[in-house]
Formats: sequence, C-alpha cells, structure tokens
Amino acid sequence: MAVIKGRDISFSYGSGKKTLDHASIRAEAGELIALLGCNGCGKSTLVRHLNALLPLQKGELRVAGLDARAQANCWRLRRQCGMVFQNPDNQFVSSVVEEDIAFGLENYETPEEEIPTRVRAALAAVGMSGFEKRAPHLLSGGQKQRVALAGVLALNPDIIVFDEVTAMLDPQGRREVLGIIDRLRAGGKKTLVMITHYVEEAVMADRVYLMAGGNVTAQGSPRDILTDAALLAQNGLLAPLPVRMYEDLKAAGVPLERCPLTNEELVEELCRFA
Amino acid sequence: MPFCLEEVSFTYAAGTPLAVQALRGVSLRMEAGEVLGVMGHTGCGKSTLIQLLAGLLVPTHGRVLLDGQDINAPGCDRAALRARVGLVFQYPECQLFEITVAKDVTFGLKHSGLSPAQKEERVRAALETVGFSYERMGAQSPLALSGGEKRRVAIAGVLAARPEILIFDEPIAGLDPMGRERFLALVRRLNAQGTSIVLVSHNADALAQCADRLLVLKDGCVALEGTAEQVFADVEAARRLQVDVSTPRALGQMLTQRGVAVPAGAVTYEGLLSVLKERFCAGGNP
Ligand SMILES: Nc1ncnc2c1ncn2[C@@H]1O[C@H](COP(=O)(O)OP(=O)(O)OP(=O)(O)O)[C@@H](O)[C@H]1O
Ligand SMILES: Nc1ncnc2c1ncn2[C@@H]1O[C@H](COP(=O)(O)OP(=O)(O)O)[C@@H](O)[C@H]1O
Ligand SMILES: [Mg+2]
Ligand SMILES: [Mg+2]
Repeated sequence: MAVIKGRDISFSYGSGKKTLDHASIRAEAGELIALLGCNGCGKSTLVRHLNALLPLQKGELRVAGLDARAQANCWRLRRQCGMVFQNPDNQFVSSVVEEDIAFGLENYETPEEEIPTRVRAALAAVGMSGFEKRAPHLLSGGQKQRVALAGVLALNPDIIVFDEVTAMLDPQGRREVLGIIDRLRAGGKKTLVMITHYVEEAVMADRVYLMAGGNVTAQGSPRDILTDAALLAQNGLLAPLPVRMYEDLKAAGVPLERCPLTNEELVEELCRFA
Repeated sequence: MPFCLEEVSFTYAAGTPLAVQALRGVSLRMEAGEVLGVMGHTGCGKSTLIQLLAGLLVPTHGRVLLDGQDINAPGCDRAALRARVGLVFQYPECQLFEITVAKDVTFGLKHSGLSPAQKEERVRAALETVGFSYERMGAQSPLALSGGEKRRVAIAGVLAARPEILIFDEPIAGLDPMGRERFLALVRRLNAQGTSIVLVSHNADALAQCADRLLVLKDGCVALEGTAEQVFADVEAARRLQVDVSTPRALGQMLTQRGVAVPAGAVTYEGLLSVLKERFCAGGNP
C-alpha cells in the first residue's frame, strides 16, 4: 500500500520560478526511500509538502491516506509525518531533554498521564534512556539528532523524513543515527524518507529517487541507480567511490566483471581478480 | 604571517558552576601558505580553537600570536585582524542576515575603504567563485535559499574581503558532491595564490585531498599531528581517537588484509587508483 502518493506536484515560492515542476514520488508502507539531488534541486521543498509545511499548489498528493489539498488535514498531516533536520543545535525548545519531548506531545493534546510513558518509550527507541534530565545543548551531535528523532517518534507518526540529518555529525554520530534509521526500517512500522548528499548512505535504502531541476528524474533500486555513473552525472551527481574506481580501472584495461556498490564489494571483486 | 597558539586553554563560563574546559594547553604553529586540516569528535574543541584564532574568543590561559603579536593585547588593531583573518561559521544560516545576497556578501567590506564600484566587483567575483551569477543570485533573499546555497553564499561573503588567512568550520557539510569538489578546487586555488587555510571537517576524504597537515583533537588536546599519510597510517589509532581515515586508506587496509598489499601512503582516490593500476594492469599482474 502506498503511504506517500504524489503526482505531478508543481510549486513556486513566488517570483514565478518553478521550484518543483511535475515531481512525482511514491513510497510503500514500511520502506525506506532515499532522495538524491544537487543543491537547490527541490528536495527539501518536495518533502515539506509531505507534512503540509508547504501548501499543495498543483498536482496530487496523498499522505497516510490524507489528501494534502484539504486544508482541514494540515494538522493531522503534521502529526502523521515527522521531520528531523540537518542542524543538531536548533531543533530544541527546552533546556531539558524530557521536557523537550513532552512539549511536542502537549502540543498535540496528548492526555497528561500518558506523557511520561511516551517520553520514556521514545528515548528508549533511540537508545537515549537515562538522558531524560540532561541539557540538549550539552549532548554530542549524534545524541542531539537522536533526541530530535525521539521527539518525532513520541508522536507516533506513520512517516519520518530525515533531511540531511547526518551532515553535521562526526563519524560516530553518523553511525549512531544511521544505525537507528536502519533499526526503524527493520521494524517495518514506519515509512522513511531520507535526503542525503552522501551516496554511500543511499545504499541502505529500499529505493532511490533522483531529483534535478524540480523534477524527479529517475527511481530504482540502489544498485540500479547508484552503479549507473552516466545517469548520476546527467543529474549532476557523482557515483559512489567503488563505482568510480571500478570504471577507472576498467578504462585502464583491468577486466573486472561486477560493478561494486560498496567498499566491501570492491574489495571482493579486486581479490577475486588478484 | 606565522600564526601561533602558545599553550592555549579555554574555559566557557569560567568561574561559574557551569564552567566547561574546551581546550587544554594547545600549542600550534601555522606557516604562511599552509592548508591545515583539523579533525576530531564532536565537542573536542574544534570550533573553540578556530574562534580563538579569529579573535572571537580570548584564551583563558596562553596567547594567540599573529606575526609575533598577541592578538588579544590591549594595543592590537582588531579591525586589521578581522580584515586579515576570515571565518566561515559552522552553520551558515548564522552568518546570513541582510535582505539580499549581494548586501550580505558586501557586508564584510564595510570598513574596507573600497569604492562602491570596487565593492561590487569584489562581490561579483566572490559569487562567481562559489558558482553563482551576480545577476541571478544577487537580488535574492538569503532566507529563500536551499541549505547548500546558503553555505555557498556564506563562503562568498568571507572570500569577498580577500583575507590572507581563511578559516572554514565544516564547510563541506550540506554541499552536493560536485559542490564538494568545487570547494576543494577553490581551496587549492586560493592556497596557490598564497592564502593560508584552516579547514575543520569530519570528511577525511576531503582533508586527505587538500590538507598539507592534519591536527586531530581529542577532549581539548592535540592527540595527533602530521600529514594525511602519517595520521591515517595507523587505522586503529585513528579509530581510537574517534576519527575516520579516508575511504581510499580504509580500502587499502582492507585489501592488504586480504593479501593485496597497498601502501599506507595511498590516502587519496588518485593515490589508490595508481597503486591498483600498477598492480592489476597488464604486466603488473603477478
Ligand atoms: N523559502 C523560500 N523562498 C523562496 N525560494 C526558496 C525558499 N526555499 C527554497 N527556495 C528555492 O527553491 C529551490 C529549491 O530549494 P530546496 O531547499 O528545496 O533545495 P534542496 O534540494 O533541498 O537543496 P539542498 O541540497 O541545498 O538542501 C532553491 O533554488 C531555493 O533557492
Ligand atoms: N557557548 C558555549 N558555552 C558552554 N560550553 C560550550 C559552548 N560552546 C562549546 N561548548 C563546549 O565546549 C566543548 C568544545 O566545543 P566545540 O569547540 O564546539 O567542539 P567541536 O567544534 O569540536 O564540536 C564542548 O564540551 C562544548 O559542549
Ligand atoms: Mg535541502
Ligand atoms: Mg564545531
């Protein structure tokens, strides 16, 4: 069942320029999709439609069964589709972790007696139990992003959008956050959308979408899309390092056979050949 | 030009119960024309270090010397320091506040004494350097830009002043892959023109490509220092300091463990490619 079904979405911030131009996107229940594209191609603009941060101007969009055109659905969409952003430092309203998560729940009129349980469950889900009383600004980058995600999870959304959530993180923070995303995916209960400029991260997705100039230009399995260096170049993107290495070695006359998608696969292929 | 930290310590909220010691006795000497990469886990003190270099924070202990002068000494010319040292912040949105991109990029030229025409020329050149056209981008509101576009405008704003020392805090975060390559090419070009550059980044691949020397901080101290080849030689040691080695170096180690020996010095894409070509191309195959 499609949880996100968007067709021919066009959008302009004003000024006449079309930021989205007939963009179509679809995600099935429980899948993780990755959205790749250059700076300014419209990724964030597209996902801001999913939770009605931006109004649908043209096209069709249904999210979790709700029609995004209906103004009346705005509030429910915002709750059904949570978002985590790039900057770990400006996503908090309170100086205590548990209060920050409770704040979102109160906003959505959660019965008061439920709040403590849900705060604890959300922190447990991101591996941050025990951090209830801590100050968000004193946590590491990865921990901040996990708390921000807990704030979203507490509302029990069907869909979670990650807009470049690892961009500012150190290697450990990145692994922590990617690990949580992978765990959520394995749980199969949430539909996940991930925007990233690191093609290696898109490898973990079930499906990859490419965007360019306000359009969704291609979609397919990570292997089909990410090993197609020409397609990526057409969209202003760079293939993952193992793919480039494979292409360059082949061009130099090394008769490799299978195009690798990951570092491990590249090593396999080279060792097989050695 | 030598830029030095002498036994610098820094404590936020010193003397209060909330005091946090961010740097502990850090010494550092940077030569003219050098590209210095700084790595380390979150909270290790990278942003603190470069704010001290830029004169935005004053050491709790120790001194920051530029050309042998203590930049925090009472007589030191702050305006001159700001003109010589440009800093691009970690979060570009913190740096953009004017109503148009052109005004924003011009802001740093306020006290430059340049004529309006000269300023416009500078702004035009700076925007072009980051891949934007003055005509198309100049009149836009900075708030109406995508994340990566904001970062590029913030970089242009600092370039316009043509400082002799440029400091970037996580400049690559949020840039698309081509933008990343363009930025690294820009670093090399500016460096070739004589600019000294400090690059704070978690991106080991990028640092391996363009830093002459790397500094790894851990818990407010310098834990490791050397060329990328030296710092990434011991993959386990780097991991213990919570930094990644570059992807080519990690691949080299994986291959070596599987019996395809790759020297530890192959830390860049080109380096690894040429080793593999040598080994696998006709004639080189054992
Ligand atoms: N609030 C806004 N008002 C006007 N124009 C905007 C606004 N936000 C974004 N834009 C423009 O719309 C285009 C798409 O922006 P968007 O933020 O969707 O890009 P993106 O694909 O997320 O890019 P990035 O990778 O840099 O985050 C850009 O050209 C940007 O300048
Ligand atoms: N404005 C501030 N007030 C109090 N503590 C701070 C402030 N800025 C940073 N710190 C603390 O100082 C230490 C170093 O921080 P920072 O220099 O930002 O590290 P990095 O840039 O390497 O992530 C961390 O423990 C951090 O929490
Ligand atoms: Mg974006
Ligand atoms: Mg920092």
